Amino acid sequence: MKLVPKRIADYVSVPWDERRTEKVWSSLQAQPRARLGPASRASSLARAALVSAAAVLLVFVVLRRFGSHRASDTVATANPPSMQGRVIDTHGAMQPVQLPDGSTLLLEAESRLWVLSADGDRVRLRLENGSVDCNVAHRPARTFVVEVGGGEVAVRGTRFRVTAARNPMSDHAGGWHVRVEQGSVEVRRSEREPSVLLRAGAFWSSEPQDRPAEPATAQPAEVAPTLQGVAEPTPRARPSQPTARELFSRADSARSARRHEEAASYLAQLVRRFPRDPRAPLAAFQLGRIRLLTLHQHEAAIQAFSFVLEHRTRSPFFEDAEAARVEAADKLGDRARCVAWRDQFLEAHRRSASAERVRRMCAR
Amino acid sequence: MLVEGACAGDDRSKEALYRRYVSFASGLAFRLLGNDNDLEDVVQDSFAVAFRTLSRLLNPQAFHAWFSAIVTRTAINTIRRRKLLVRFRIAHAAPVHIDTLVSPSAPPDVILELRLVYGLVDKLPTRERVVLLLRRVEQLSLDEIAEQTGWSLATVKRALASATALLDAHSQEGTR
Repeated sequence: MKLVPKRIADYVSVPWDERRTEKVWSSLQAQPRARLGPASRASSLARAALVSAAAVLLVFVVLRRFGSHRASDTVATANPPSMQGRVIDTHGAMQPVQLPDGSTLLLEAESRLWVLSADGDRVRLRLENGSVDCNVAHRPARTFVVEVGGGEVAVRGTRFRVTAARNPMSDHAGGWHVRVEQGSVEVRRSEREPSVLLRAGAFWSSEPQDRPAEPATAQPAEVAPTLQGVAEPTPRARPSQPTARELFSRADSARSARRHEEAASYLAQLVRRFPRDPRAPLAAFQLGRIRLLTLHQHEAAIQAFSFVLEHRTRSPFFEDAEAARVEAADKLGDRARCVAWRDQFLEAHRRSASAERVRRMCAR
Repeated sequence: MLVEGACAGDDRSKEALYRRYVSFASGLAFRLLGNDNDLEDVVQDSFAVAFRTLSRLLNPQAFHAWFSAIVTRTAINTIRRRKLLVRFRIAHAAPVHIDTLVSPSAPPDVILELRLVYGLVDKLPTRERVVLLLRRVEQLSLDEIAEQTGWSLATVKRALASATALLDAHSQEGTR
């Protein structure tokens, strides 16, 4: 075994995780091109000369505005006097929203939300697409309702997530589901049905009743509804199997909505059914990362990364997959494989951006 | 291959480049900032600038060094901006939390060095702070620091001398 000296920098614990990686990537994708780069030096100088007299006030305004679109802000959307009638479309990035009653929302990328009313007595939102995490301020006199897919979720003070599930195979409206993190909410599938009370930790799903459900093989454990008080329709099989492109697209949507098990299920199907598809190595790489970092299925992650390494000629992710395989073996506690793969990686990619990180592995 | 693909506007290559370098960028930025407050902003801005100006990178093999310079300069701007905001009471100061910053697995001499350096950096002007961290924590050569920050070698030497003198004084204060 080789002894690799560590740098002092390696002993600084960096508070960075997969969630932040995804968050920043979402923000990057949504950032308009015009804002991506620094202003040119010439224009900065010209601007500086022009505003010298009123600089202090202007700097304050510019700095405040500049800071308002950053990824780390907890509340990026301004708090206007009235939000009624407002439609919030997040496109590619997550977006936090503060409501006048003190409640905060976090909209996932590709979500669309209507603010039907938002005042001190009544908050009524309509989720058309995507997901929203609601952290509702406790106010006994105020009602807080999220309409979704013909039904609604009513709450007084809690934290919960509503997702309007999209079906990439169909233009029909999809089902929706609710996950309660704190407190309790009342869920109603439609106006004609009685409401169901969900408590903290509960997950409720409304399968659409007017279209075929997803095939049973594509239904992951995480989204299997733990229904409380409502009988689910029996899933029926889809007449045709999804293509590689559809599987990839479904996995992307699930990944964006942080439904990791579902994403892993689609990616695994893609790799298994279409191993020669050009998307397969990338799908395997993403599958490995989800298994490694989110699902903590380390041996399964190694298998996924091994697929990428077997198809190195088709994959630009080869180096990353090699590094990730070392990490998976490290987390698995398999020291022999970890050391062998680590040394192999460092030998091949000495100047890699991952070299420092890989060097620290297999210490157990 | 990834750099060339990203330069040509291929989104998959950009994503791959991002995922490959994000832990490097967050590590370097965090060590320069000394805290978590603006970390995501620095990482985001660094990648935004990198993707926007990638066409200016003549040698794709030099991406690592080129990107390091972008992260470093973005962190410097952020530190300066925050100092300004704090001075005008628009933002709160973001102190370094040494206990959470130093890895539990660090050997005693490294803990001592990190505590000494990070115990001082909040009191230093931005230039001295950055040069000290790049030298003592990142362990870069003076030439590398000059290249990464865009400052002249003479400026780097002066800043390092000044920071080292303060560090020595701080160290002696601590032992007294």
